[in-house]
Amino acid sequence: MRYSLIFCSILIWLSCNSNNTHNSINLEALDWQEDSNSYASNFAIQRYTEHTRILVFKDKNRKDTLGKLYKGHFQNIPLDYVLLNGQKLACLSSVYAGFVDAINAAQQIGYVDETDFIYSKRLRSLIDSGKIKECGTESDLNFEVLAQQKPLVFTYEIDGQGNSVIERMKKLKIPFLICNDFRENHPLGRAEWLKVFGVICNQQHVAGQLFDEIVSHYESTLYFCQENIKTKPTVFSGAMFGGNWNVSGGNTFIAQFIKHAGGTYIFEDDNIDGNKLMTFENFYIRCKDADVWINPNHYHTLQEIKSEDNRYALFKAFKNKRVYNNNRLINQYGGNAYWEMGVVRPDIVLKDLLICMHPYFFENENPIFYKHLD
Amino acid sequence: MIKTIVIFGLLTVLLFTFDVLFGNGTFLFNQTDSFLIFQQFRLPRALSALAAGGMLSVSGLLMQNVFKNPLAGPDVLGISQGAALMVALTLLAGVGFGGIILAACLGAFFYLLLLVWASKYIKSSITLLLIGVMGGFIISAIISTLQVISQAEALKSYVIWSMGSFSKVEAIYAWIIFAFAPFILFFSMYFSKAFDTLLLGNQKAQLLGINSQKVFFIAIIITAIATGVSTAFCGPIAFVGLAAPHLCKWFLKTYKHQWLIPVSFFVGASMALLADILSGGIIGGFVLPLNATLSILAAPVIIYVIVKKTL
Repeated sequence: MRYSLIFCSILIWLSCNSNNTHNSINLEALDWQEDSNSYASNFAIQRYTEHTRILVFKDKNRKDTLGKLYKGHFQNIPLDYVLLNGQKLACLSSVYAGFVDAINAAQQIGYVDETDFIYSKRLRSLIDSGKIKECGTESDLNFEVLAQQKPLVFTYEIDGQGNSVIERMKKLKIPFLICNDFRENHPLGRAEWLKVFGVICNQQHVAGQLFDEIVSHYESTLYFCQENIKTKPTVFSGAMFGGNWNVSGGNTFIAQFIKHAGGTYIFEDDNIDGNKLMTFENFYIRCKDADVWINPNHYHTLQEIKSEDNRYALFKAFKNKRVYNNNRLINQYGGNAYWEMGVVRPDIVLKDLLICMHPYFFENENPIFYKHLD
Repeated sequence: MIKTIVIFGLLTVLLFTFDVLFGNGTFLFNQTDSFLIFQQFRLPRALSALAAGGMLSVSGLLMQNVFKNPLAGPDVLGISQGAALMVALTLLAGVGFGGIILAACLGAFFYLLLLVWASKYIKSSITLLLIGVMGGFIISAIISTLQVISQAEALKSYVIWSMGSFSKVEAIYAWIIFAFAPFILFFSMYFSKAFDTLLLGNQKAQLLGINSQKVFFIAIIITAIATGVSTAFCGPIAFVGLAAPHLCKWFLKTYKHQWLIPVSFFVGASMALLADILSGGIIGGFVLPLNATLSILAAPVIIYVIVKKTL
């Protein structure tokens, strides 16, 4: 009896073990094809026979993977990485809500970080009807709701994988995707993230079509600039914050925008992917004679800028009233359309900047996101 | 004692000159618009660092005396937060920058009055200090709540203000802060003997014919104005008011305010000027947040005080 029991146990153990081996999927051994990206470098969409894998990379070298997401039918892969059908989405930035809205999948959004930041009429009506709720910002995330509802959370990297929010989401098995779109250097690279959202929301065709349209508009504006602009104005961006100026480096997408719109970015030779702090004094020395000033923080008029700090009026761009800000479309709660839609529609932003820098080409046309401060 | 005052006075002048000439990591006269740079950037920075650092240090000294607690200071007791609350209310209500000075002074003043009222009933200085700290937390919580319910743009103005910095101070405001400094120094010195009697306790002070309540109130008015003016223009400046008076006591080894006040002013001013120089890009071109630099400079002093008190 005792021997038969031991024999049965061994048999059961072996059968379980062999079953496991049989069902496990070695993804690396399967055949797959990768969609080619035109401009983006921080994500990859890999197509397998029965499923799709999205990989997010830390940078263009593609050595470190920040996140991965699977869509399709297969087993033995941790559940928090597999996208379920009809899964709701939580956007921890209005940028991601903008991506989802742009591909007509707004109804899939269940949560946003702050509803006040949402500008789109379609998203606002979903907020008003209670279909989109607030889940809090990264510093004060409502983990209870997210753990219960398990939406796919679109987040951004703050402190790398060691970020406590990410760690907590992992523990609570809340599916998430770290979007590294903001590290794309080319404006169209950020917009190409539409394809990622297209796969997730089953709107690949819409996303692909929209992206092609954006590329076409962007390139035609770029061609116009290359053919027609002979004199390039010098441009700087931003405003002082806490006594210093957070300067975008020469490789950032804002630098690319300025270059493509027929301007010369003052810091274009600073070979930096991100931002760097600069004292107001040093910034003034570099930018005092620049022709155009864009994105001066949250200000709406030159008077507002001057009343914040008189020294802003020392810039040549201020004296010549060539200051433009991206806050033309703001809702009653302070939500700015630029931050929600500007990333998805770089073609519109480029055209806007072209109008700001070279207004003589477009006397009867007004920018969409930008306004001339006076 | 006079020798010590002269030494610290000279140190302040030296650091002030260095801040003006090299404070941004480049020599002033190597700039093309050197006069404009001097007038609009270097001088306002150095003036506000000198005056705010000095005034906050004197405030800290008086607070440590009034509350008889070595860990008292404008930012520890929540006085800076009191000023910040009023500034937040002013900015979120859409009132312009002009209203901030008055708001900050009133905020600091009312918060101090509240602490004085509490001090009548609570005799333990540690308990009072803890109440001050907790009051600061409550005010921070109110400010956070205000930020949540306010509009994004009004919030940005407050966030910009709340980053303590000397380089954001414009020339005219730097001169205003600087103009307050001699008054604070003069009035503090004028009442220095009366402040000495506070250290003896209320009963002994009354025996000497000093109205301790009146002296208490004067100390609070001076502190409220000094903290309010500094905070209004420079934003919350960390640790100077706490650490500088201790450094001063360490050097002087006296409790006489006629010596402590001027030296405390110069030590605070020197500390603020040094922090401004170090945060302005002189170290390899790296620009650092002012309060982070000040914390690095001041934290060892505070740790020393706590350890000394514990031992």
